[in-house]
Amino acid sequence: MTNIVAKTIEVTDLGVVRGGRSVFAGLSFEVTSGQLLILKGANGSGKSSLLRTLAGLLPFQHGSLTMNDHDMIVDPIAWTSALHFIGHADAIKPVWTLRQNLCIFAATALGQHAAPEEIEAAASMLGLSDLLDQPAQYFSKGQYHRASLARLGIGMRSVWLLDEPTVGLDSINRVRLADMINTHLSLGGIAVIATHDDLGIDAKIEKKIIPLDDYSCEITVSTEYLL
Amino acid sequence: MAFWALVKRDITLAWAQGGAGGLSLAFFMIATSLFPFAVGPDSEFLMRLAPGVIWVVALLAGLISLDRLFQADFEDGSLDMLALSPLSLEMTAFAKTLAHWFSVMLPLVILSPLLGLMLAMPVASLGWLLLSLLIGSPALSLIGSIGAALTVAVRRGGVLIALIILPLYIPVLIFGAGSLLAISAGTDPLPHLALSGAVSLFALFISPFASAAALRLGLE
Repeated sequence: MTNIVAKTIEVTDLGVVRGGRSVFAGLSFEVTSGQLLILKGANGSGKSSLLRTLAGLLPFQHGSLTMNDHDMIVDPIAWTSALHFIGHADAIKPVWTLRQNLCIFAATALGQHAAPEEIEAAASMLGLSDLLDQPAQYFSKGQYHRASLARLGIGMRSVWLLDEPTVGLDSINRVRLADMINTHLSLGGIAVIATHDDLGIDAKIEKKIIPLDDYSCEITVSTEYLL
Repeated sequence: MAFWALVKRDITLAWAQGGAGGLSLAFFMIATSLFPFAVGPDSEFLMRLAPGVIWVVALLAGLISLDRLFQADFEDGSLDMLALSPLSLEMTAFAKTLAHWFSVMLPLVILSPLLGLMLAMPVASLGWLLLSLLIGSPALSLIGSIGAALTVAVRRGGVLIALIILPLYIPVLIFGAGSLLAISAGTDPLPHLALSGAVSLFALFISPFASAAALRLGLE
């Protein structure tokens, strides 16, 4: 199975309702190869919900999502095979070493074999080379988070969806993460990142910012949900 | 490939430090060996009790590991990763259920003749005990996975799982333990085993779809 290389992601009139509350509505944008999309907004403005919707984890009630010409609803596997999603939870098993974690992640979540060199390269990008054969239960909070970010180096996915990736990172690792994102974008990748921080992204890279506060709705209960 | 990788992953996790496999097996052995202390060492009485005791304890031993079947992965974010895998959520749920049977139920099944012997079961019926558990236990994992998926987002959902799935275990128990009662009564156990197999096959058909539907609700 070859993964789709996303050239464009087009979001049209997107609306998401959770628990009877409209999280955002009427959201339209397009992000193309080499562009970085930054989601800004207050807590609860729907940044995480939008990322989970883009990943296909959260169903949406209104609008459409297309990648190249694949509609997400019609072809969810093509969609998910093009992306990496790193959320708040680290998804690292403490009983396994970092190497096992990455290897098993590749086999189960990506459905592909990761070569040892690929795993070593992914770990070294976030300065984790020395920890590769250490069980994750001895990691610090920050190391857990870096371990979860190391997944980005595996599997060559063209779309990165990152939810506050800089939280808990020290300044050295922020630079390392920025380097990873810069490289990814300069190779024609797409990144959608929810963050409050300045990521330190290359000035050459085209950035778009979506202020989600503008799209969040007042608390409205949809009648459909109540019925 | 991702399917068997996931089965292997879950079996490894179940037998890793603090995993469900060893705990359930230890529970099965200790709980069964409590019965002779409680009801006395009269071997005639124990022999009559044995099939029911072993079946109920095996069912409970499987149950105690079910609440973590999906919840452990839900809490640490792994379930998000698995939901994004090339496998459908149905196949993901089925792979995890299959791994539960291999890592938790199968060891219980293999060890059951030993416990039967301890409860004074006649040697000739130990093979039937093993066979009845082998045929019936897949239904325990498959039905259990539905309960585990329904309670994936519920904190301390263990008791809730028990309330949801124990009533559904009744047919499995009736036909499974029933086959052994038939043997001790001198009648043919095969109809019981056939019905037990039918329950397992029915659960096999329903479980992946029901579990995946429940997981979709939990992931929202």
